[in-house]
Amino acid sequence: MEDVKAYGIYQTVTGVNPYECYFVATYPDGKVRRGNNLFTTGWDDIPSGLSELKYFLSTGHIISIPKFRAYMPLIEVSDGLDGSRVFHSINVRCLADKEILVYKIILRQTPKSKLKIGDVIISKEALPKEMSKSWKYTDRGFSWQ
Amino acid sequence: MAITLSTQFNNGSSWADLSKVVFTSPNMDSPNTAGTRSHIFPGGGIPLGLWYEDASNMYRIEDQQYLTAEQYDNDDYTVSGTESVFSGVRSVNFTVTEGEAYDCRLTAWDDVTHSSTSNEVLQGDYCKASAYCYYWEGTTYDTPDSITTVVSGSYNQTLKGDTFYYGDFDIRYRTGANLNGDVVVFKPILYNIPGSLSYGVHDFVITLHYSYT
Repeated sequence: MEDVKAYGIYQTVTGVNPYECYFVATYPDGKVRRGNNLFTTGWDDIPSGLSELKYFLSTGHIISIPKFRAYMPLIEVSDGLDGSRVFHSINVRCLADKEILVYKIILRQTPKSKLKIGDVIISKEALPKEMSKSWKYTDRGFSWQ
Repeated sequence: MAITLSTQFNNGSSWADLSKVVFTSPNMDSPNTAGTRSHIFPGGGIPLGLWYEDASNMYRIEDQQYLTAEQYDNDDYTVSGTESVFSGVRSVNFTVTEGEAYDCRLTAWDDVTHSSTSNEVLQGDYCKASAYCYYWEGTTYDTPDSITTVVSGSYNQTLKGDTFYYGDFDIRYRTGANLNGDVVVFKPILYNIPGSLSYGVHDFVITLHYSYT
């Protein structure tokens, strides 16, 4: 199911409904923390120690992120001077032993785009020099520290 | 951390909410007339004037297109204004009012997808901007006590998707007595539009592309 459409003269874009996309973090004791939406994600309000991370999109897609030592999801958007905002992707940065893996969850598509909403692209990055406080460690990350 | 950005235009005496930056022929001095011609290039009617509009007002920034020159003055510290001096007013202004953002990039895209440059103006490298990112200390925007550069200014930078842009940089809300920012200010410019540009509508949009948690 598609949620948001914008029409131009030459282009049409379909995007998720940002108010109905959120993460769900599960903890070893069974507690569950649900995020808010893509505007105010609520990520910085949850504690570390999670055991599972999933993303729920308004389109019905459910993306399970494999377990790593820590996560830091970044919402990638663009604000136009005409008041428009496009949500492009959720880039979940995942801390592995020797590198960062980025799970890029696509949030918009055009008729010509090869990538569709809910598709996931995986890429690698070098380990960061500093760890932002927005990184949330998993129970696996804690045990290895 | 999530980020809250205020996007406004400084018209020289006050702040106004931002709606669009539009280009019209320079002989249109009436906001109402200019408003009816938004986004429509008048064929050979160049050079084009630069206007800013919000929901109820329009302000003419320039009556024709100028490039800006690199010049720094502590009283005129940003990127808009007269043709040769950057000033703190008559600029489009992104101000961080909460949180922080990463990988910020000021660039131009088609106005719908924000991911395509299939546009005659963008393909011709006619869309440019002079931009500066900083934070300032003091109580008055026009006359700060001091400013600190976050990213060096870029002058007459062509904006075209991921090919030409102002960036990449991180911005965050500054806390502390009399600290304000970060601020990204810029003046949009159309330059060297040829008479051969096809008649019609060439909508594009200048965007601030960024990431946040």
